[in-house]
Amino acid sequence: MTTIERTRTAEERSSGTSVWRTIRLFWADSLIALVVKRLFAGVATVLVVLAVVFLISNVIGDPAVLMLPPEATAEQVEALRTELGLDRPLFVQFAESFSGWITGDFGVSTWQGMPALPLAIESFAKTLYLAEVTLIVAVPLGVIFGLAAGRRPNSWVDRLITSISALGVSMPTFWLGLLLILVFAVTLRWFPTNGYGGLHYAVLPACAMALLPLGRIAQITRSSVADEMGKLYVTAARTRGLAEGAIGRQHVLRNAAIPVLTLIGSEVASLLNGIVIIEVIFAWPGIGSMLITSIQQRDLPLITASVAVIAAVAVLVNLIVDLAYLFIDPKVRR
Amino acid sequence: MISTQVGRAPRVGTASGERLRAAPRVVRGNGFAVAAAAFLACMVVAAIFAEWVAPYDPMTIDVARAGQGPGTPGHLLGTDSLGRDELSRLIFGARISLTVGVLSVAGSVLIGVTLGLIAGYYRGFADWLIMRTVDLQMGLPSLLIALLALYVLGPGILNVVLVLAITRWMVYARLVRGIMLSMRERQFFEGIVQLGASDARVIIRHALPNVLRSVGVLATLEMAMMMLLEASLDFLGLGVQPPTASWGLMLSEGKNYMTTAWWQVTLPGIAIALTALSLNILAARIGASGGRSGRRMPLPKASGV
Repeated sequence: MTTIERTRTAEERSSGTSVWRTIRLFWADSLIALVVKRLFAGVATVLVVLAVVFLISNVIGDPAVLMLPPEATAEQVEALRTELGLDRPLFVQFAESFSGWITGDFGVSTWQGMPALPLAIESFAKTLYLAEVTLIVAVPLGVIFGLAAGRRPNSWVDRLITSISALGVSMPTFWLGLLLILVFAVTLRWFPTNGYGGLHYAVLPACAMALLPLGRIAQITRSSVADEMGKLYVTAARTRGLAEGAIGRQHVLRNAAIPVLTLIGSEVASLLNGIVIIEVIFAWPGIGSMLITSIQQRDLPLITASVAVIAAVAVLVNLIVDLAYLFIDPKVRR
Repeated sequence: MISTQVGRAPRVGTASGERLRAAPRVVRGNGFAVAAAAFLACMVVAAIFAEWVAPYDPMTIDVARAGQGPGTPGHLLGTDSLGRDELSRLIFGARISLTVGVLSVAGSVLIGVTLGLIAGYYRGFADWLIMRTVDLQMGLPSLLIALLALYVLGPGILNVVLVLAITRWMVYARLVRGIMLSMRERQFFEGIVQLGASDARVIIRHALPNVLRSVGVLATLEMAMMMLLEASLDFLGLGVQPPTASWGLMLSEGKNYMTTAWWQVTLPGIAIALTALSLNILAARIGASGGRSGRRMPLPKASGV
């Protein structure tokens, strides 16, 4: 006992007062510290992405050339360059852009004549609506299909579901979108071919986007559940006389959820991939259409703002998934 | 993402029978795998010898015969809105798709495997820098990066290849680094190092052969992904430019005639979907077949955790 006390006092002497030490120990272990750290890392990520965009457009390309139509003359390019201050040293421009990013000022959209960031955020709200409908379709259905297949590996249910999910994973999202338009909008006339509006308008694009994550979620849930079902703790639970349902709910689901959660997190990046092209096909005025139109309009401020919004969303979702781990898998907490 | 699936597949061939039953069996028996391989082989042959295989020139416009449906005499799969033969355009489109797919996968494998080996072998700062970049790209939509880069570089097939290679290298880097790290723990590896082999020798002669099979499986899956991305870029007008025949372009042109000519949006899509499906089936098969077994492919780690 005395030895323990002696070591403790020695440590205290070396690392300041005990109050600070307690706070520091608490801070190092706390969830808040983790969240704050991740948030800072997330903000840094978005800034790095923007810096890369700046590098690509200002070093590899020339903003004046990029913003003018391809047939612009050399004088026009030169005039725009002086107007935008592009003849100044690169680091001055970068510092200016950087302070703009931090304060949320991405410049004025040349196409819309309005500040770029509010435009991008406004269009993102419409994307969010579409994404919500997609996820509401994909996540529960994927998990249910995966559970149904994983509970009884190699049954006919399993075979049917694995075949369908394999097909779903191989189906190009945008072609599926075109097919849905062809069948349900052009031929059957059940839904509008494109445009923005209520749920009626969201059904086809959401279904087109949902198939890929649905297939992947079903595949991973299935193999994850099947893996867990074969483990010893399940046998042990059965030996103790637990009902199958209770084993599923209390033991298997929790363990099987971890890979599924990872997948849902990484699905978001590919969901954003799909959303760009699906929005173009269905003329849905979200962030994807905004990005493509601003590229066609050669509107550099709006492009940068759209990228910032998309990157911020991707980072935020990954952050939420990381935090969800903490609650499901105590091992991650160290 | 795809990499998660890849990590799962090889465990099938190597672990116990219990695992084998529990694993996803996309391919039952060999039937599907044979069909997939046969389809891909036909496609490759048709793409290489397109000039001889295709019944027409894919660019020849014949307005008199525009918009004819499949089954028309002389035009097996019909014609598009400019009277160009649909089948010939599909065959020449396969050439573009395969070229871009193979070259961009080769490029991303080269970058990804090199950086992955370096990160896993040397660790330290190089590892930190490479893996931070990997995490950054992993979290962002690939299409976003590709779109931006193509906006600056301008459209064109070479730029598409370059951009796609830079967009997707990180999946290999993450996989290879993982294998490298677990390999470092094995005795044979320590032995080689103790015997005084140079870094280059250890990496090229001993580490590289050990990662190739896993990389092969992943590359097969990525090939499908690359072809999809290429078609998407063409569709959005940032990839291959008209009048070249490419599947993505055919879809974007066909979109405008959806009400009158269903085959124009259906056929190129079937080509893309069948190719992607075949590649996915093959990848699952290669992964499950074991090869020289005993080499577990580690699951790529979840980002940040």
